[in-house]
Amino acid sequence: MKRLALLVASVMLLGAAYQPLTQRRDSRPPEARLGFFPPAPVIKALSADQYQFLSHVISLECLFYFGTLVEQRGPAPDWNRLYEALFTASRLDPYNMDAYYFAQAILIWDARMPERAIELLEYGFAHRIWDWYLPFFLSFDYAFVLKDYAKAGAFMAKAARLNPQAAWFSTLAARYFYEDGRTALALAYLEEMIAGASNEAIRRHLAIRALAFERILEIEEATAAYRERFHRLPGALDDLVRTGALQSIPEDPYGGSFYLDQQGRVRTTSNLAFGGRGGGPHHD
Amino acid sequence: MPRQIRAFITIAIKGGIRDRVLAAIVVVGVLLLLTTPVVAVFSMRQVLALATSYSLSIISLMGLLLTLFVAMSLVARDLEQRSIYTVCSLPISRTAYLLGKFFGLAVLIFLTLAILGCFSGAALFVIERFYPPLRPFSWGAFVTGLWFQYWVLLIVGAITLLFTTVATSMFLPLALTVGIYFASYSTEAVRYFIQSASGQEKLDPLIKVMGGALYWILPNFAAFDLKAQIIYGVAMDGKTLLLTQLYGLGYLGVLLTVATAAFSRREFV
Repeated sequence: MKRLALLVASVMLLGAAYQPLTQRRDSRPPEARLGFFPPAPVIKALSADQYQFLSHVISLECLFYFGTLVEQRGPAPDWNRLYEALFTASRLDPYNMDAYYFAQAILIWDARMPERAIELLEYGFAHRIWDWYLPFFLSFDYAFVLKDYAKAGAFMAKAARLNPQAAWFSTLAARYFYEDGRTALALAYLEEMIAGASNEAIRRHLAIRALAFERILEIEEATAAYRERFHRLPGALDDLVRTGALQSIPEDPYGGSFYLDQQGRVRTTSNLAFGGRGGGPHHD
Repeated sequence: MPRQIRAFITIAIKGGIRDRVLAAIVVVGVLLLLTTPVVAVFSMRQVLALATSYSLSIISLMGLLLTLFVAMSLVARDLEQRSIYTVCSLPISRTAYLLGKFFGLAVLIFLTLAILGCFSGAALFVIERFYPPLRPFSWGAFVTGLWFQYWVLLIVGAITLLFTTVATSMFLPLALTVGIYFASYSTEAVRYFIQSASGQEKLDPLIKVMGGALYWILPNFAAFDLKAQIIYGVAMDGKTLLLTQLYGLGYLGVLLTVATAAFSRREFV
């Protein structure tokens, strides 16, 4: 009888404590959720031969953390901590493609850390010498973000050599030496990223960005048509609709509004991020 | 192989199979391996690589647990049950007794790795069909990697056995072996650091000597770790593998010689 009473009391205590504990843990700030990872040499020294798997665990932790925030459209992730975690993952296992793919997917635009992303990717490519994705990503980063077209062309040529089936890589390598047509390049790059994205949160994240670029491209093409017809830039997007160059002003999937700046370049108030908080090196 | 050793091998295998710890470890290992596809699909771009890494981690961990538990009980159980006195009173050499026990352990580890390796291989085979990797999965590398994993466990088993022949408690051999196991994966990295410009500049001479000595004394398990070759298809160097195999053989020989010498001199009161 005593034992049964003790069991009932223990179960009640468990039930009463666990629900509020879950709530408290769920309400932790995002930076606490990702946790802290010691430097790679420390993890390596303490994990014997498990460091490769731990590297994968860290990159998955980053993905879950980011995925949760994207799903909830909650506060901005702690980009620095994400970068540090991905850095640790790459040093534990320099072949871990998930870490590089995730770095490419989020550090370039959302976190505004293109140099750090490039550094990670170059480290990865030094090890994954057979993988055309890494030079492909790097070529995009150099061209679109850093505007270093010589390096972009060199990396795209490497990607083309590693993946001879993708004939358009070679064309792209040549085009990278010129600054024009970058929206089309960005779109081509995003479509390649989406095609290989097995994770739903990342795929959706990239698809929204691709949709935004499709719409930017649509406006750019309409602006070019207007310019050819009237030999001047349109004053506003309404001019494009009024003259029939554009059927209607496309909606920004990030919730902002597209507009033309004084040079006739397409801008958006969202800065290509939900709530206009991210943006990154945006479409200029 | 002498008949006496064969008899002790049989006893060790039967004891191991009867041992519930062994069965439990194999069952838990197989159950974990069956979860491989569930874990692997979380990967963004390398489902098969994550599956392989997960499988190898389970095999390594389960193999280590099995080796520690069985190796610890090999001699300790006979001491506890006092059957060692009967053995010592018979015209049987202690060397044959210890070697028989060790080779029995070696067979058990081999069987366990084979079972876990088969389940792991089946899971990876299915995953490879659904998520073809950028480079084809190398089954040769997989089997080679498991073989060298087996040699790590043989050396761990021999270290445990060596400590149990001289120790009077179960805890000390376990603590020492676990400590050596973890340290042995880092000795190479420590040596690289000592040799680097930064290490030469910052480290105390005594630490440099100690770090260098540990590299030569402890087994270099990093050399046996072929996970990058299995998971990512990084090229294997045949000569390095051969030298690693010879190094493992030599290290095991030294351990077993010292263990049998220590056991032959041990007094049972």
